[in-house]
Amino acid sequence: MSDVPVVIEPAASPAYRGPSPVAWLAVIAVVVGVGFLLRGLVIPIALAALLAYFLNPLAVWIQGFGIRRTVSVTALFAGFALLVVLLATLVAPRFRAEVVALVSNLPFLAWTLESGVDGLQTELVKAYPQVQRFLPKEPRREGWLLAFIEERLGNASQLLAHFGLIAFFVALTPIFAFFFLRDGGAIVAYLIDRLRPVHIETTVAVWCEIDRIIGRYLRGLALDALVIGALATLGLWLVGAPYPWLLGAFTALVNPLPYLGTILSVSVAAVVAIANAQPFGQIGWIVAVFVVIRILDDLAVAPMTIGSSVHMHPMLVLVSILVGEHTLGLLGMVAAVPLVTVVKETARLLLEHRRNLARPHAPVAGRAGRVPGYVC
Amino acid sequence: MLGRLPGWLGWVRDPEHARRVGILGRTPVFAGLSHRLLARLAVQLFEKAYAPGEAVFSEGDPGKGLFVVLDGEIEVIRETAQGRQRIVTFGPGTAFGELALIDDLPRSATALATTPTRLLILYRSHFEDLVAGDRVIALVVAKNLLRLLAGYVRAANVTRAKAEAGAVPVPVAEGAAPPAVR
Repeated sequence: MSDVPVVIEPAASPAYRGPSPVAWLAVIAVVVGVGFLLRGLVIPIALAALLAYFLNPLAVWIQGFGIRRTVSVTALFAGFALLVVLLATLVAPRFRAEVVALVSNLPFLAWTLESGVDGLQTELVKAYPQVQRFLPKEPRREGWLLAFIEERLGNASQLLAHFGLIAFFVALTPIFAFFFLRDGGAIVAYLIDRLRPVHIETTVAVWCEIDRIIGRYLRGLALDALVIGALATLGLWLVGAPYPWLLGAFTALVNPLPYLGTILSVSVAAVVAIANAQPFGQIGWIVAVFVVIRILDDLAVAPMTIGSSVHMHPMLVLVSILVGEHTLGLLGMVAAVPLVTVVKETARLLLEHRRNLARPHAPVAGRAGRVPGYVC
Repeated sequence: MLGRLPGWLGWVRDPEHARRVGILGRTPVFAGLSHRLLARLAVQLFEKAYAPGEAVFSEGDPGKGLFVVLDGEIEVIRETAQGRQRIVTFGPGTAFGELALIDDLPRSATALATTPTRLLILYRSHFEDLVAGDRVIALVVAKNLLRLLAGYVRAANVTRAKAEAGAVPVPVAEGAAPPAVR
């Protein structure tokens, strides 16, 4: 290492040996072509990519013990398979029992709710006749709620008709995920080695930052939903609420919905309790369970899992939820906020990067006769 | 890390990982980190090859990462009125650009590969993830960075004194502080 400044001749122009833009375009065209041919497999491939993305930090953590990537990923998948088997053995029978009970009780539950709603409506009109203006002119036919539920469940039974296809997807997803996880790092390393050096210090670093923030947010969201779902199941089971496993799973599903998630969970749990002719005090306990869970989530679980690096304006949250609901129903509502957050954070980081590049940097040469600051 | 494994389980070890851990352990920024922490750090690195004449970064680029030389040679230069001025040269096992782990202020010089060179790159985002998960890394690396900065300040003071006495000004580069003035 030399520390003596020497005036040198300008270096020859850099000899770039990476692929040309035409080669990149050809690769993209091939990928799009293969994607078109395999369009039937888009769902398992997308699910596998998501699963691999979620599991990657664990694979990296195992690699940190000096273990080969293939061995790390195999060990991780063995653990994952064990977890799935354990869940299928311990949790699945309870879910099944609750689903069977719910299906067999459905006509009774619907009748109870329908009677309750109709009775409430009659009482309301009697007390406030002006409410009549806002109600349908023709009286509802008997069994309207059950018909509505059966119509919705009809969609579910159509889904069950494709059971073979779903099972095929479920079997394919972990296989794809294994290869994504095993070879993803090598593919990224290969691409980085082929990238123009000018992008290494700027663009790749920005994508690493985006990956860090988005990855932490998405993994945190999933972990938060799991913890809150488990707490809800435990809490509802402790207070003797009906269907604690199903309601816990529903709570986990709607947990990513800011503000609305808890309201939906409490409402559904309360309605199910009313339909099951539970005493009024039970509703109070259910509300208390969700209040405690909300406080725990805000004070402990969410800060530990999601952190506080990602923020969204309440108005943007509301608009995202409405658009999501309009597009894909409940699933759209749940997916909308994370999706918008990912897009917003990506845009923010890219704009920040552009601003940094455009910002004139401080002069480093210093005044004549003065020693400039540090270089590099 | 896996040194106590029986011989027949040797195939689970990653030799490339072991090589990186060895190189990182000799780098002043990471001196004093335990083997376990170095092993965790080593999986976060990207490797990239540079042809002679290729710029690793240019003056004015925002600093986003630390570079460790695996093989080859890197020359840090600056454009001056007299032409290109070589400030410092880095060989295998040395690291440069460590201040990018602290902030993303623009690079104040250009780093060029003079021979076929392979570098390990540690981005600040990955480093910050490690630091957030382990305060020992933060403490040790912060201490090492302070030690390096102190070296640069002392070197700069010596150079300034020489310049004020009429000698030619000598710019100071990261990693360029001579051991005598640290």
